[in-house]
Amino acid sequence: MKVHIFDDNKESRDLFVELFQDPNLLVEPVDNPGSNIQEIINSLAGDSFLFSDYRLKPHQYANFDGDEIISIAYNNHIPGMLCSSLSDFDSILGRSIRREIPMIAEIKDVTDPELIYLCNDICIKEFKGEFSESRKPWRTLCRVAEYDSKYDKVYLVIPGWDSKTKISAPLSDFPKEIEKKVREEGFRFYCKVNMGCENPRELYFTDVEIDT
Amino acid sequence: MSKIRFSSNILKRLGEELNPGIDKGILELVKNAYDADAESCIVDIGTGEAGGTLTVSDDGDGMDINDIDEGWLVLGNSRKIHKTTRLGRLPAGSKGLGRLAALRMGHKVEMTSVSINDRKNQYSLSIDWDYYDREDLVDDVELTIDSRINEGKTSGTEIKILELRENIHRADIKKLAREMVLLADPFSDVKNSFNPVLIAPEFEDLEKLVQRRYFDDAEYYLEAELSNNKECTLSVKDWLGNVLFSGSMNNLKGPYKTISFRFEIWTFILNNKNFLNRTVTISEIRTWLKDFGGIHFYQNGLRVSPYGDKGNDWLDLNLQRVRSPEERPSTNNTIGRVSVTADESVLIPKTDRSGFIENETFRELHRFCTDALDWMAKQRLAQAEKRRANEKKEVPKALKKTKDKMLSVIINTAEGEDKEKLHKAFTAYDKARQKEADALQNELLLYRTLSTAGITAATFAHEMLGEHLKNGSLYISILKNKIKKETQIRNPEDYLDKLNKLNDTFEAIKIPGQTTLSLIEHEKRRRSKIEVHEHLFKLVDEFQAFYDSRNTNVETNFLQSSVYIYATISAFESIIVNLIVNGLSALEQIHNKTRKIIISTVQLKTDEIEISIVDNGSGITGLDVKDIWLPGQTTRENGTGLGLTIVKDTVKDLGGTIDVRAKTDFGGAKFTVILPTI
Repeated sequence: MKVHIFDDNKESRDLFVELFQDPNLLVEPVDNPGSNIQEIINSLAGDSFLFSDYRLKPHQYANFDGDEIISIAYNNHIPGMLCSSLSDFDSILGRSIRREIPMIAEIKDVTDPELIYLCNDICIKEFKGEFSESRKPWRTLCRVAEYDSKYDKVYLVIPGWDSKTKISAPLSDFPKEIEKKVREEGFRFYCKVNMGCENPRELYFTDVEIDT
Repeated sequence: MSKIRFSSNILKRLGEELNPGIDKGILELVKNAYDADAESCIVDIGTGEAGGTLTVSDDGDGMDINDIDEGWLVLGNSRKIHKTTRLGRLPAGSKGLGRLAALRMGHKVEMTSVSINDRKNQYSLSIDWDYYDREDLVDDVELTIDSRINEGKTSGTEIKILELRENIHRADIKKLAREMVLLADPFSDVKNSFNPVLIAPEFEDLEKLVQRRYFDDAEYYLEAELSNNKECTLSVKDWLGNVLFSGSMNNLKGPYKTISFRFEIWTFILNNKNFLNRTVTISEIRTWLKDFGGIHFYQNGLRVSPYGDKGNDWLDLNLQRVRSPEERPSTNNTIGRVSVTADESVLIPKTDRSGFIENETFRELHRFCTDALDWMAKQRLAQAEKRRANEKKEVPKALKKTKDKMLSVIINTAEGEDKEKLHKAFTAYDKARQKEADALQNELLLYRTLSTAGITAATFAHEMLGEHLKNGSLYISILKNKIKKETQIRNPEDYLDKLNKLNDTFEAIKIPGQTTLSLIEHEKRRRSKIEVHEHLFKLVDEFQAFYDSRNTNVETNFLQSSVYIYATISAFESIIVNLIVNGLSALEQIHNKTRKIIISTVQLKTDEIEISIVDNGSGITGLDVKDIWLPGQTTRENGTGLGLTIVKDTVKDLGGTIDVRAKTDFGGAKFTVILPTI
């Protein structure tokens, strides 16, 4: 398997290459990622794996961030893992993109190549439609409990998951056509949610059904 | 051969059930008059009572037998779409469903028409809807168009809706009157040749009001014109017509994939100061805006509802104002319009006539308007900042002037001993005021300094966590892996142990960065129901590395049950973090015994929780207890003296109280916070 390392810090890229050294892995730093994600994805061999830090833009290393390339790779059936230095990092991500990023690792947990194998297995299984309990999507009803206009955040209640907890999601997670409706408290819609997930931060939702 | 046929019930479905309101249906008949190039269209609602008659008559081109048969009687299609009329008007005609709704307001309809192309004849048609109700299929009812010699009638059409099914309520009449007054853009400088009239007192009042045109009294007039999807002009003028700001596409987030159009908005600042020297009063403008305010949408010179209807804030003016209240217009102080020339293939009306389908053209038009509003808000904000800076400069001068005036009054009016007493009293007052001003200035300076420290810390926290500490952790992991694989190293456990300790140190170094970033999460500034113990545990955990490095044990003695308060997480954290930090600082003086902090919670009444934090330090010394809450009061070198001020203010904001005992049996000070629960 060929592991491609995306990180805007050269020293970090080289360290990851060293950390992931394993007889069955060919680990390569990506020094010049280019600007077109799809082109990058198209150029990859069949047994590729992407490992990316979240922030790739600040030092002009790339014009996209790690979540974008990992999610697009996932949609092209190329496994990948996102990595972050922050402990509660996944709260930054949108709920819809979370569907396409099966594993987000905190840097303190990235200690050897085993994690790459583990994440690769999870991705390959998901591509075949085999999900772990905490990642399996279920069609369910959601209700808008609150809308925070200042930060464009929607707070949802997913009664089938937990009727007492409000889950936040950025307004941009919703299709344009229902953005207005989603701002209204009490608005209900169906979408797919990983109902088996225990940590609210790992909840994703996708395939929002628009009632026209 | 078979064919699809329609049940008579379909008329009810399409007519009554698709019709959003009486006013919308009648307005469709008025728009038909516009499409027929009428100059006048009169709607007479009679008594408006059930059983009465409603008449709509116009002086347009009228219809001949073919027009009636192939056009007026065909529902769901309009022969006129895409063609301009004889007077060059772009038809506003619908698919005929609004017309059906209006015609079905009564049990019967009588229509008479004289065509401009056939003035010798007059055609009439009667529809009795009760026949349809009795028949199974629409096709089963035959209609006959009567033809007779025209006896001097001019061209035009008259529609009588007889035996009204329901009363037309006053609210409907008022709504209809407003819609008719606004229909043909009464705000335009170019007089529209179409003049619809409703025979009702409400209409006359509104018509008089609309003519008052208070546009010249608007504080700001924004004019934005998109000439093609890549070019536009923007300008904002003041009420004297002076251009305040101007801009182009470079100032917006274009290009916009939509049609050329014009967007104008007049914003009023409704305060007495602004209207001192004007001929118009605030209440007149308020009344005018109440009836006609909002952002209206004019397509080919005719208004499209519901844009600008009462309660319809389609450009989200109020929402934007809530987000950033300064210098933003709201629907209460604004009137505006979007004017487009486009047929129904570009901006597609919804079937129930309630606005347009939100296709790309409409969405991009909407985006241009909101971007133009954002641009104006930014310009106005910059202007306000400048004004504030100037005002600030003027304050000391004004203060000196007032002071000199006061002293001169004392000198010129008081006599002998009184003069001296007054002078002394005033000087003492002035000194006290100056002291207060200095204290506030110092407090402000401290807050600013701390804000800057916070901003700097947050900015570099990302950098520090994302690069230096990350790489440090990676070096440790690599070394550990190498040691595990290497067989020649003696005592590898010793190396691994040291590396683990180094790793722990790294984790401790990460805490300030992670805490800083965590404190500024905007989610925490949202007021919500929060569970006290969940957040207390989290805070105690977050600081664990600090306690360890300071040899401090933190004990928790919490209630077993969940207790909720209504607060922002950041407010609650401000209280607890500052008290913990205060405790840790107090313990810096303790050398000979184990340092301890105990955090406890007690349910006082059903609606109050007591949170106490006590340490085994030496208590509050060197400061009067009542002074510890004052800003800037501290006994520590490099202390800001703001922590406890923030605690006190925040507790008060949350509706609670705070008390302190300078010395307890445990050793140190005990802070007790009581907060209301929900």
